[in-house]
Amino acid sequence: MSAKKITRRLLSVTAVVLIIAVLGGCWDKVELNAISIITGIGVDAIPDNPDLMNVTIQSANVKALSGPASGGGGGDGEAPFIINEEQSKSISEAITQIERRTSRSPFTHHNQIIVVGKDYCKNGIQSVVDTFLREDEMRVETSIVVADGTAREMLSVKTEIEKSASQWIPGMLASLNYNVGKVDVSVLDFANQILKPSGAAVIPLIKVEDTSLQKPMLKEKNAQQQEKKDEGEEKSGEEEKDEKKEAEEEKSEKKNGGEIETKTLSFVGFAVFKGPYFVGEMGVAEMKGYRWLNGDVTSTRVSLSVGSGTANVNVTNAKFKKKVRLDESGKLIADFSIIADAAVLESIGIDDTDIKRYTKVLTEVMSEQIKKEIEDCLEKAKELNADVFGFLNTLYEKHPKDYKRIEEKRDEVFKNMTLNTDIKITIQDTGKLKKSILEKWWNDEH
Amino acid sequence: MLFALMASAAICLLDLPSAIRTKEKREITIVSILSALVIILCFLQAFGVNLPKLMTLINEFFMWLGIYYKM
Amino acid sequence: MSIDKSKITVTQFVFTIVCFIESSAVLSSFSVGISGKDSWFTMIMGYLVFLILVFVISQIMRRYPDKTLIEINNEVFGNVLGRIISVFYIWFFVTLTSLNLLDTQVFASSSIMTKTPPIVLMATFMVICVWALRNGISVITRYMTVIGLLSFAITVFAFIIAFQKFHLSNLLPPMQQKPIVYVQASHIVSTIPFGEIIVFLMLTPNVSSSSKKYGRYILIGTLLGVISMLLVAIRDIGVLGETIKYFTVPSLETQRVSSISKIFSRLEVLYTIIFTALMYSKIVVLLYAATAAIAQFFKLKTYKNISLLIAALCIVYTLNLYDSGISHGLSGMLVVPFLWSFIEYILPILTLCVILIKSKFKKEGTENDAVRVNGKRGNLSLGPSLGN
Repeated sequence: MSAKKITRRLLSVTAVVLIIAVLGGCWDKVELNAISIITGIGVDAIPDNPDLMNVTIQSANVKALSGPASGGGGGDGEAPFIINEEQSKSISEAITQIERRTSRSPFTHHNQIIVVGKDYCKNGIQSVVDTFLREDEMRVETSIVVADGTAREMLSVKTEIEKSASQWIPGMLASLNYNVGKVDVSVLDFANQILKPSGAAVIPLIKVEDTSLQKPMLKEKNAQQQEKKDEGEEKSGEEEKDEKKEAEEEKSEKKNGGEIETKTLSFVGFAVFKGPYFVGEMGVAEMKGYRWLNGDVTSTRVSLSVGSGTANVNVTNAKFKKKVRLDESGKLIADFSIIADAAVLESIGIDDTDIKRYTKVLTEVMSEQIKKEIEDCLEKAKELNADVFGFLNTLYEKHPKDYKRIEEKRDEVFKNMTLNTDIKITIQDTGKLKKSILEKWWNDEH
Repeated sequence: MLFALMASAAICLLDLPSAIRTKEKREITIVSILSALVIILCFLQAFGVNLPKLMTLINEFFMWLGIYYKM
Repeated sequence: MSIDKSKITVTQFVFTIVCFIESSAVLSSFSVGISGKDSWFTMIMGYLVFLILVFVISQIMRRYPDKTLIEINNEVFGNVLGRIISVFYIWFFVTLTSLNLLDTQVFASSSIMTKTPPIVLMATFMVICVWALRNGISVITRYMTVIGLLSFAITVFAFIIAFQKFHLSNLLPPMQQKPIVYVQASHIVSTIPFGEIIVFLMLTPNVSSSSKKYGRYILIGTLLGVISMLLVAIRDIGVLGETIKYFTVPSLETQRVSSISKIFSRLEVLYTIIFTALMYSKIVVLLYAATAAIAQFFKLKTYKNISLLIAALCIVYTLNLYDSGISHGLSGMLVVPFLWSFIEYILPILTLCVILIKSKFKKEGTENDAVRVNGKRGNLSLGPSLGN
């Protein structure tokens, strides 16, 4: 081999080695032990200072998660997350300020949830929406929820099955998506909805609650405390010291990232927004109508009262049709139809000897009930002046010229709209039983 | 600065020698002049000299002429 | 005579065009920012306008199959005017190379490698391009088939995984904006991805084709490219809806949002891969065109002797194109369509007109000569003989 060829080969190898060194990303290397993985971000209002917000950052506590105690339940060992709080004008500023007192740089790529306190929503969530859409590290598909309380409290709870609220909430929303209809709202979904003609959107409303086991204990504790207050008993010095010590311990536990007690989080309805501004709430009752009108439900359960009896039915294979039009006077008329199958899950106190009559009765009651749920939900939306179901959007998409006619008074048009529902649900099966085995005890008093 | 040095080295070690190897006077002259111009530009950039932003200037010229879409 | 004597097959030529066009799917934010939900329509309109250029280029290529654009300019306009026009084209090729390099660097800096100095990104990218360039056009185009097919496969896969988040209602209602919006967006599309095909006039002599049906090759290549662009546009509109107008890189956001349950998620890495591959394929062709054009302008024996210095020039030029990214974005939407129209449409149409006029005069001249010659021999009689 000639000297020239050897030189050329050596130069090529050197060049390749140098290129590989650069490909490794010298400047952009991210070591796992140098980052703090943020799993949840919360924003609350500060009562005395409307210009600032209280930003709560929940990061994964890697030490606790990797230790043997991490598999255990409530309260054992270290909390699986760390809470950092900061008051600032924006979320980005808060994260920068938190960086000054941590040994690791915040890593927001794996943020699972954004929690916004209800009080903060009342001033509008512009900052949250803009930050999460604009910043490169923030992901637009992150779920957003409103805390019926404070975001700080929600992110600080230790939950029963999952390790933290940032794991619990997405899981709960995913299961609700299947059983109730699409309730999970990402920042992108929210932005899309408020940019559409109706300008209205909903965000799930979540509440921190005591677990079912703790509820009677706490009830008793609260009752005792109330008794003492009523009797006006003066506390002894020692009792006061004990109480103070307990309160301090609780405080330090909270600071380390976990409540002493394990709590549960429950979905209690929707926070309704017009643009980025909070206008009201829809509770669990209205949520029942929302799942129908949204047209996203895959499978859902309906509880029925038939005379003195009750039934529980699982509705599946639902197909929704929404037709929207304007009549000559400019009134918005929507024709909404549901065609679905149903299966009886539970039936008590309803005469099912004649199966045809039985299914007819159930179908009629079910249709009436669903219609009522829809009407109640629509009334609530009209009260809040927020077309969260997208009737105005559908009018704009299908009949843009008609929409332009009523564009300036669309809110009024929505308030005066008429909804015609047509519900056709066919009971396909009655479960594993052809008829109830408990028939002979229905009329017994016990 | 590192880029200017590396670019100059690459030009002087690869392009210029290949031009010289052709033994054509015209080729060597033109390649040398172009190389010198490019190396000067690289060093001007490295020293932080504010070189004119050509496309911005063209944009402003077209806007002055009125040939552009209004926002 | 061409600078590079190596030959490329018709398939390689077509796929080079496909990659060239597909790379512009990632630059859709110029027109998408204007037309929003109707960008699919403006893409089609832009393509229809571009068909004029296809005809013009194919006619020029057919008449001068062994000449590059620089040689054609000299032949058609003469030495002086031809060289002046060549200077415009050379400036155009170098500027396009720098603009695309800028887009690549900005994307990499903002999304993948935020702390790496821009010069490092540009220099390493250009080293690869120059390496391919110094090996010749056949080596450059050899990989285009693979890149083209791979990017198309990734585009289709990305479309499938985005289907869960796709809403057809986001595409409605169509055509509700002012007419000027459609004119502007179509103009942008006809110049920024499609009009740039003019660079392929530097590759004409390298295409080994007996039939010389250049128009057909360009049509097939651009059609395949535009199908890919339309798929991307429709997917982005269906997923992002009203927000598409606001994002700087809509396709990246769509990829971030798309997933198949939790198994396939965070797939923006796919977008990054095809973006880098396609931008490489575009920049290397542009760099070849720029280098070959400069070499031919100065009548050098080979373009390889100036490849590195042109690459270095492009890097320095990239750093001095615009004073800010916002200025770049605005320029792309408001001014560049007019500027590029002059070089991509008006100059080639002018060239073809001059070619046709010249060939007509040449034909008439030849006929007159034939008549004069035949008149002397008494074979033709066309009234009073001019020779007498």
